[in-house]
Amino acid sequence: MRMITLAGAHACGKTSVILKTSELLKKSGLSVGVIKLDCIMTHDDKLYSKAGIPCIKHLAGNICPDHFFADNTEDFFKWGIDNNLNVLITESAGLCGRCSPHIRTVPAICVIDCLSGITAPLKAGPMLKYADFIAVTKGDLVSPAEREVFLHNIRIANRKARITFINGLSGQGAYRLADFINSTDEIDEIKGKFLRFTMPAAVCTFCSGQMKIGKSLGAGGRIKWSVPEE
Amino acid sequence: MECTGGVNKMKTFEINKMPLRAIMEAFPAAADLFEQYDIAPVSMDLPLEEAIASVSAHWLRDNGFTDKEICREIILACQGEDNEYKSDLKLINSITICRGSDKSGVDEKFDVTVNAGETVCVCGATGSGKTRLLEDVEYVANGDSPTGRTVLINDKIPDEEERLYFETKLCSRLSQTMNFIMDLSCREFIEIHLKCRNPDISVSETEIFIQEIMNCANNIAGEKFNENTMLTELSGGQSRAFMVADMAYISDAPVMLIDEPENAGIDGESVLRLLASKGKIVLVSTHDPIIALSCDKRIVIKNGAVSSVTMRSENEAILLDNLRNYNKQFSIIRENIRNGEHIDIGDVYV
Repeated sequence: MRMITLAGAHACGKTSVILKTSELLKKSGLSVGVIKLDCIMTHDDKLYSKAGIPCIKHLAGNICPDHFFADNTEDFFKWGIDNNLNVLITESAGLCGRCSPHIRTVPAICVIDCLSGITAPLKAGPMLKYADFIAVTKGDLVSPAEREVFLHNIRIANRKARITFINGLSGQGAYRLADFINSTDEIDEIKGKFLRFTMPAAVCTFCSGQMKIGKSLGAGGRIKWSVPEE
Repeated sequence: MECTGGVNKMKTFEINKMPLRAIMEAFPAAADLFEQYDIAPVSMDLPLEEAIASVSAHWLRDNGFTDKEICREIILACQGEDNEYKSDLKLINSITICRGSDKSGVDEKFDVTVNAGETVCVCGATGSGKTRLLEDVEYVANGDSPTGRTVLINDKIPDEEERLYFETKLCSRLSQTMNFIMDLSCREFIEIHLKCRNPDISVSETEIFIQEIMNCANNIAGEKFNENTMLTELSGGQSRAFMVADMAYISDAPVMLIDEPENAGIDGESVLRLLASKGKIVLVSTHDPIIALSCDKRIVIKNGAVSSVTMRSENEAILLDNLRNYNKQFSIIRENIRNGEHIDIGDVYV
């Protein structure tokens, strides 16, 4: 089975990109399944089942979704094997931009949309910086010049990844991603693999449910902020 | 077309020995990286690795970096400039769209070649596959798109490396759904666009570009605007006019793909003339008879495939002049209505 981690900010077009690409993968005879990770709610699982793609949705709820992901990757992988999938795609939102679900030796995709602002590639952090393939969506909505500047900023943030514009509505460019997925190696075992980058420290009273704000209440890895000197 | 990689590339150990300040001065891309990531202040006089080792652990952790990685990124930025595959876009004289198949899988009957300075219109009913044809060109299809078409550049199938390069460099595309999202003035925008193409561009050169682009955009747009107008304040027609001017003067993409300019609030004919005069290969999808007839060559799409390729006939050239006259009448009436005037039946010679 091939496994792909796919990450991108909210509403950037992750699900559309996966749907269009899966259509092509299925045409070439591969069975595709999706693990959809979100925080509060999602109805995307319905879109997947409508397209005949096995999908499991996981809501992380109270827990940081990327921590949740890292904790449960082995089970996701097993689900894929048990369902005889050829390609397992995990879809998650890089919520604060500091996380990335990407795993060493597992192909990583980042989806980013042109409407997210010209400096977004630099803000996207490890989920873009450590991706092998970057799918840029909504390119048809901004000027050619802005697209060029956007591309330039993606290149600054990640000099190695393959970058392709994908139109989530028409599916233009999706065959490039399908080609990429087809060219990746099968993975026999996920156990013992490493994330490509550390998760942010999350050891404080707020993480465990404290709601009242103020410095005396947060304990753990606290960093003091002070007014920067001019 | 040749790969210039590896000839003058500076060795990693050589860069490592240079003081950070010297690296910044010699390699604009490295300085850009430093500025963009806002890397915490370090001692500029130390050699690269030592300087980066002095970045605080907090900063690294908060920004999702390790010090080794910053060094690697900087070295890549320094070497990248002549390591990347490059090809001279000015040498592209023609593209050829080779036949694939229609929506029912029947073989297409025509290949189409478009030369530099030539404008070709793509006509056909809505949903017939006009946009798909433009997409095949944009992605330099090689039998791997849904239509199965192959695109040749200068009569040759580009290899994989060339395709990757062309995918983002060959075409510049203008559609009626495009808008500016950057919160900048026209002047600032042109400066940024020029700088991202050439970090070393001089102030005087930049000024010339700004003047040329503003003049050109104002000639195409209905209402006037100036270099201090914010992009987000531009009307639909003004922003498309500004995009076209930018495409004509700054973009080095040899192929221009224009989607239905008649809906973009700009003078479609002058846009095509401008781009063709810059030696561009222009493909325009349109439903407008004036724009269609003003093109040298006409492609008609039916059921996803090219169903005919024709040159404009002499009769059509005469008809075009008549249509332009009608269009002028139309503009006068539109202008009068805009100005709050009533139309006198005697003003119109139909």
